Amino acid sequence: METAWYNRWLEAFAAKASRPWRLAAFTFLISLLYPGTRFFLLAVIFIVLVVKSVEYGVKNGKWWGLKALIGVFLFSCLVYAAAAAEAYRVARYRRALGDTIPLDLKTGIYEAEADGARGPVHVQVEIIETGLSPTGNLIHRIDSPLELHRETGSIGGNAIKELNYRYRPGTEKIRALNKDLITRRLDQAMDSIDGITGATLTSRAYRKAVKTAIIKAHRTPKKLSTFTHFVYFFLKNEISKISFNTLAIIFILIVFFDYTLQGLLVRGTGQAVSCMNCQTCVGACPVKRVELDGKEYAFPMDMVLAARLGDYELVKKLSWFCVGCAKCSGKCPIGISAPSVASAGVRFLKAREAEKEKADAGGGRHG
Amino acid sequence: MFTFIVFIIAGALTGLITTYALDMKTRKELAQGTRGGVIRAKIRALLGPKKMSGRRGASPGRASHRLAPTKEIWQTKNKKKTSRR
Amino acid sequence: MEILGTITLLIFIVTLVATLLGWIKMPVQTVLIGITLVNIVLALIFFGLQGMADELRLVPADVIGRIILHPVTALLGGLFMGGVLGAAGGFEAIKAIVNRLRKTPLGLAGTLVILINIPLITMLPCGRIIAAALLPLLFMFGPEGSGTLRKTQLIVFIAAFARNSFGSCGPSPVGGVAQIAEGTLGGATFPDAAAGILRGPQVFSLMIGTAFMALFIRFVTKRLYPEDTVQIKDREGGVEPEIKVNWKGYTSLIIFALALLTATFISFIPSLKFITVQAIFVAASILIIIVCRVSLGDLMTGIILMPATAMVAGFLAAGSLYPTGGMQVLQSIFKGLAAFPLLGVVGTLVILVQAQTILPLSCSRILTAVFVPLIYVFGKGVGLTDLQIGIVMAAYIINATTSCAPSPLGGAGMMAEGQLRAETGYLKGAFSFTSLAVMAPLAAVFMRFITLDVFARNPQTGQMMFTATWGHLGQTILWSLVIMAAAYGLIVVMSRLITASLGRNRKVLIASFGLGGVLCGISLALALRLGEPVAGTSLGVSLVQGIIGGIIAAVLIALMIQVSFAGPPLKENVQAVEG
Repeated sequence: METAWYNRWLEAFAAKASRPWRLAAFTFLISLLYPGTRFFLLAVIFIVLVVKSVEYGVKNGKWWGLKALIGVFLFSCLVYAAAAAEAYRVARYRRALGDTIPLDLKTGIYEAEADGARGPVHVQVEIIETGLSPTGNLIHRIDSPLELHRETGSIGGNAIKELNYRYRPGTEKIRALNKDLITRRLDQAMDSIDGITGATLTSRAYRKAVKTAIIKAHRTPKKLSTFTHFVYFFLKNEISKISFNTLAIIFILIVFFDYTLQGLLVRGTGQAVSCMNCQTCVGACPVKRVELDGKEYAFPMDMVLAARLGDYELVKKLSWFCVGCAKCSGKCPIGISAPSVASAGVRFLKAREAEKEKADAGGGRHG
Repeated sequence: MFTFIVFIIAGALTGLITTYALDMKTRKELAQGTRGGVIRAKIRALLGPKKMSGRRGASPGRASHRLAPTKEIWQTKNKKKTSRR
Repeated sequence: MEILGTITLLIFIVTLVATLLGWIKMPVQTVLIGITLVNIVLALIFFGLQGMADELRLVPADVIGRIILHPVTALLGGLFMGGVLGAAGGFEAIKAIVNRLRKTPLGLAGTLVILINIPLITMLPCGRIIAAALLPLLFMFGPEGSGTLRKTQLIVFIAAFARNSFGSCGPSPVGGVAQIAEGTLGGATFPDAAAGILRGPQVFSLMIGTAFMALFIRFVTKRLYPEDTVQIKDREGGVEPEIKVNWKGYTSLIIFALALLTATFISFIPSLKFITVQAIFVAASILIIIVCRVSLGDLMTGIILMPATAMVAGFLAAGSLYPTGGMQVLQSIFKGLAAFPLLGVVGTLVILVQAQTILPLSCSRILTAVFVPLIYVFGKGVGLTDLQIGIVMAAYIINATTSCAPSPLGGAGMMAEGQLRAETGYLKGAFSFTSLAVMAPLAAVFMRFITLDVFARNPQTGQMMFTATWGHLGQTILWSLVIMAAAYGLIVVMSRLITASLGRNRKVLIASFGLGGVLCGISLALALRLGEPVAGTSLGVSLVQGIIGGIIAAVLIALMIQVSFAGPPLKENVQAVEG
């Protein structure tokens, strides 16, 4: 019978992509999808490698594998520490505008505008080095030159004059504002700037302009370097409850799907996936029970299950006990035919072996 | 505690019945079966969640309390603490 | 909308029944996925023609959204655990322990009783896990093994074990069937429902149901079907089964027990509530894998995929009924039944309780996804109180849980039949009868008098209250004894009436099942009267309604047994093979 192209393709895939590779691919895919699981997956891989290297060491008396792994572990700790330090610094800068971390201001005069009652309110904020605050630089004075805006007349103009007077260099108000800037968030500090009764809009514009000017004076926040980005791709969410549960679920899914996949890929063994373990076939079978290599198998159900898992060696061994009466397929509620599943599995095994031999022969010619 | 008692009784009875159904009708075998049933029921009751075995004791009260909670509930609850522990 | 709902519901029911009767020969999961796809396509066409854009967009999300992930993943975790336990030799350790028990004062009889109930003690999420591991051992007690038990004893023994095993998936804390119902019940009245409100009633009725299964087989089945349907060689004497267990088996068993205890009790520690059952079980499994050096290949042989796929397929098929309005049609059908004076609310509830015994599928999780919300909404709709809904749910869920045993679609009962080398369907009547007449009534009684008291809370303050009384305890015991006595009497009388004539036996079977239904109806009607009438009916009326509902359900079950009992497809196959 001519095999369909997709069957050939699937079987080639089943033969080439062995289980460890498939698991690795699954792991990679999941680590891309779920950032919370990456740390755990890495840890699992590392533990497996450690166990393997200890085994190797006990067997051969050579411990270079374990030593290398310890080295890798220490090195990755260092790398992680470096990345974490940088991340901490960056986070400090980033939080500065919205958090209690002191502002890091540049010296100089900064100007900003905001819309007042009749036009823009123009504000100059001068920042000088004081040596008092943790960062060293603080506001020296706030000024709003009258010639630069149109808030004239008795209300707006007088309010601005009053504010200019209050926030001249060295006043109590300036000191209080500086203190607020150090200990509180920027928005809260701005709220503490005085408002002038009757000139609400002008006062509001004044505050807004001061805030903009201070933001201008702030050193630009740093960004994470590519190195830290790379490290944090793996280690960002080390431990969280969600990631632990997700990992548990995903681990189960990986194991389940991978082990059913094998049965589906090989032509003829796919029907084994729907086996319900009801053992009706065992009741119908004249053989019923097989002892092989010290283990007991419920025949023919275990042969079908072995085909589902892709353990074709076992299928081959078990199929020697089959008398081929097909009573089991008559009894099976789904109609799985154990003999045909077994023969399909054995056929695939032989094809794989033949291909391997061919490849070996080919490699020999080249070598 | 009530769950425990009911389980023990049910365990003893079912042990007896199962042994009888298994065609073991001498007095010794029936006793053995009953004993097995009781042990099984004990294990099962201890394995259940705390609330299922109801070890915190039970208060004398009426079922209708659940439907119409009144002050009596608290009285019965207090009574339970003094009388049953 | 109603037309569409009727069509999708019809497709669902007709296809399921056809599968059950063997007209469609495919795994139920495949059939269910097919139903889902057809229903979705129908819904898309219908909404597209009507121009209902919003409904059209919501259809796929509504179907997929019905999958409740927690039971599915918990089940996967439990199955994984079972596989690991089997591969590490944990079940061998159980066998060795049981073997040692025989030398204690418990003797053979006590050991057998404990052995029969081991599934209920371990509570894995699918009875097949432990049955697959222990059934061969049980068989070795028989004439072909050590010869400790005679052939007739062996049949009773294995059947009782099967009953226990295939009900143990309900009360399991690791993705048990009842978790679906517990989640639905959880709310203002039962805030702790998820901690296992339905576990007590199930365990109680399962213990007694196991004993009655043994009785039924002992008295009825063996007379109803001549013994040559079971072909065990009668050979006196034999060798004791030798069980070799290494430390790995015991270690894995201890880890498993610890994990089970942790999973059961962790929900009571608020700070650790976030650790889910599946996480605990996967951690324990990985621990066993590392400590006992289990290879993945060994592990996977022990895993049984079927319940997980069945559960997902069931959720999908039930989900396809929601957006299309099939569920509303189903609800209105049952509301119509309830409006019918002879049946009433109580009668309808009795039928609903037995619904899964009437339609036994290979895994009860399939229909549980449909019926649990249906019962809840129906109960609310006809004015039942929360406590009454709890009682109905307890009675329903035990029958649902045990419905995989009598299923002709590769149900778990076939495992026992295969092990016994019996005809397919040999144990079916016994499974159905215990579910119908013993387990559902007992679960309702236990829920009514014990569990509701333990789980009660003051609805206003949310405080725990304990309303159990010695009177409730006495009533539980009294009612249980009455139900058990009635069931025992039924079984004995039925066994006396059975003769060689097939037609007469059928009539006897249907009649006694009907009486079992009467028993169920009466007990449920009595249990439901919680200080107030059910939907405003008097006691006499609700008793009559319960009896009628019980008879209808029982006759349906009896007919289903007749039809799918070694039905046409199996016979044809045998002929095809022999000819």
